[in-house]
Amino acid sequence: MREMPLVLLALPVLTALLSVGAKNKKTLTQISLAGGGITAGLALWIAYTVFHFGPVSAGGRFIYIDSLSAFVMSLVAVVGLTAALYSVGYMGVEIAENAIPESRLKWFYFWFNIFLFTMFLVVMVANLGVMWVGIEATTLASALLVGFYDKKSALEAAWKYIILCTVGIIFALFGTIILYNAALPVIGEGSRSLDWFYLQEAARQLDPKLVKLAFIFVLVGYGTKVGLAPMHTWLPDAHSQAPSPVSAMLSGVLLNCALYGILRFHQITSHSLASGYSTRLLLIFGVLSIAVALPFIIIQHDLKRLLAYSSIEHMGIIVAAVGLGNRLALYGAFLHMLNHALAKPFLFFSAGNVTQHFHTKKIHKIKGAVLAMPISGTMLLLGAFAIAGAPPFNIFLSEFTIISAGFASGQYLPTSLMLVFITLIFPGMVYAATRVGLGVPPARIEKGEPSKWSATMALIPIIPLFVLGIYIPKSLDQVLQQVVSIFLGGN
Amino acid sequence: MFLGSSGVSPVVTLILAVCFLVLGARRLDTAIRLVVFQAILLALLTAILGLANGVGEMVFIAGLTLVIKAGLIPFILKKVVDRIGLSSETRSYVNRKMSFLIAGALVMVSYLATGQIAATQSAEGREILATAIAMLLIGLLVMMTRKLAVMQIVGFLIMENGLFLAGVGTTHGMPLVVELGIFLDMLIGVLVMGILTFRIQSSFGSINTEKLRNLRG
Repeated sequence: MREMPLVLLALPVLTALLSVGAKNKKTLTQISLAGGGITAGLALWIAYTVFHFGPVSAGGRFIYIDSLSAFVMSLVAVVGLTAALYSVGYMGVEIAENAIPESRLKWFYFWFNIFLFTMFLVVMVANLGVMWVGIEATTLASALLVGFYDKKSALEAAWKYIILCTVGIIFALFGTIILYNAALPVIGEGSRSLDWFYLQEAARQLDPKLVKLAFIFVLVGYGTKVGLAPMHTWLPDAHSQAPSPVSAMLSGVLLNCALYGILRFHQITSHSLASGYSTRLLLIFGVLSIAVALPFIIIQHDLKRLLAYSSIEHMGIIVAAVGLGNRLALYGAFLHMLNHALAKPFLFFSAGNVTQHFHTKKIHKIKGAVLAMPISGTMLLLGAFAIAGAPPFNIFLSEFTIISAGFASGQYLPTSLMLVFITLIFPGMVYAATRVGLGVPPARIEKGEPSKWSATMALIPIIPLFVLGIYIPKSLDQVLQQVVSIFLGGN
Repeated sequence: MFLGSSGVSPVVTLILAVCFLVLGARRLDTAIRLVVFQAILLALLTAILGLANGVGEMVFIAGLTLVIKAGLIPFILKKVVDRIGLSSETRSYVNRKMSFLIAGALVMVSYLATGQIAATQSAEGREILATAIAMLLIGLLVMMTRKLAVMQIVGFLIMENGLFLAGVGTTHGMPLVVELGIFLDMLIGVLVMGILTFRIQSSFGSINTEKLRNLRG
């Protein structure tokens, strides 16, 4: 039982290998669903154990999972499973319409599952060096998925993605080496000096100059992957060109995995310096990202790029909330992480169905999606309201929590800026969604959904958005409180 | 913190000099050969430091550097260049004189910056760290100014070599499991970039990344 986390890491790899060996589409689908289901089940079970019985370690401290890791791990599990479910319908339509040859489907599932494996690796390992290896591996595994359509635009996006993120992340490795250097005289040689748990314990003895330097490099490096401005330029390209299930994974959890890397360094830095050094930096980058997303959301002409810029906005909100730094703001930050991870894949699913049906991603060319596609169109419209922060959806609740935490702690300037930007983004999102959703569809568009699977996957995920917008279950509240306590360095 | 041993300094200088040669390279295969040479020098340096300090792990890492950075990775790059069938010029947005000038300035910045951070380290330790940072910046310069996709991979390799140097030069290298992971990432990274370069060649009819600018806004 103790070594279950290792099994969890092995499962997606096994699914990937089986996919390559699969003979036809039906077997592939079965492998993907079975693999995805078991993986998600095991991950959630491990997370449950962590929440109730404390941190888990395995493979001789190779893996160490505390509440924060378990929290992000659950997000990876849930989004990974829903994306796998959605892939069945979406890829089915793509093959039926000859957008991709059936023979390449197995490579889709291969890289999809390897991608999943790398994300689990990032959140489960104890060693910051191995975490770097994992985050770089997420880029490598997903680059070919981004370029999966093999069209010019997709290849351009994939190339920019891999080059920009690899360069960015090299700076993060430099930061990791600097931190290792700082830890050597304190903790001693070997893996322990890169173990975030021990680093946090020994944080006060580390050379503050080196810690500061390490944090800047890591923030810029991993920040590139989180999509923080001004390093965000790869993100809209990659998210809009990837197949929609992959966009959902990129937006829903990949960004969070990279953010998880920053959070671990942030913990060490704030324990070490006992000043607001890293929180201030996070606040600045967070607010800047929201600001940068604003004009692009308002003038956007591509539906999937709209969603991508919205991801930049929401990662900015989470990072800024961590930067506000008090308990309530952190609670809001993690709640927002959950809410965004639930809402954005859902939007990419419904938007994926709509773009597939209308054969275009251009906002001005899509009209009357609600009439043409009663389920996906309606869900896209509702989802846009949800993501823009309208009550009674969950995003409203977490944004409200963050904003009130900011004002309560007297940080008026950044909080007001956030409030203004979020308010201005709202009409931008809603305008685009109503343009797409309302009106009468062109005559050439037939009525109906491209696939029952896809339509179901665009429908079900709205339930948690509603429920979490109205009340937060006690168990979730306890989990979030626990994550915040861990984050602040309690027990 | 630095592991004192003589005979290191000339190797470090040579490693930096190779970066300048890459900036001056006119042809893709020259650039690839230079990267191989740099990897061999890095392996040599790692082996010297490992033997001088009695760290067996470092000698192992030196061997691995030879196999992967001077063997497999250039092999993949060579395949890409051959399949694309061009030994064309390493086209650049900036001419060579300007590249040298910028790179020279970057080296000076690196030395100045290192003086600020690592005041506690020995002279040799500082030299290695300064060289490492300079390589990081020059690699970035190559990636930003060279137009061909393969040259951007070369720039990435130089950046990573710089990091490797920082790791080996200021500590006994990272823990073995991390080093192995980084090697694996490098290898897969170059492989994936190679595959993408192929596809870019067959879709765009060229690997000039100037053509990759349709996605905007």
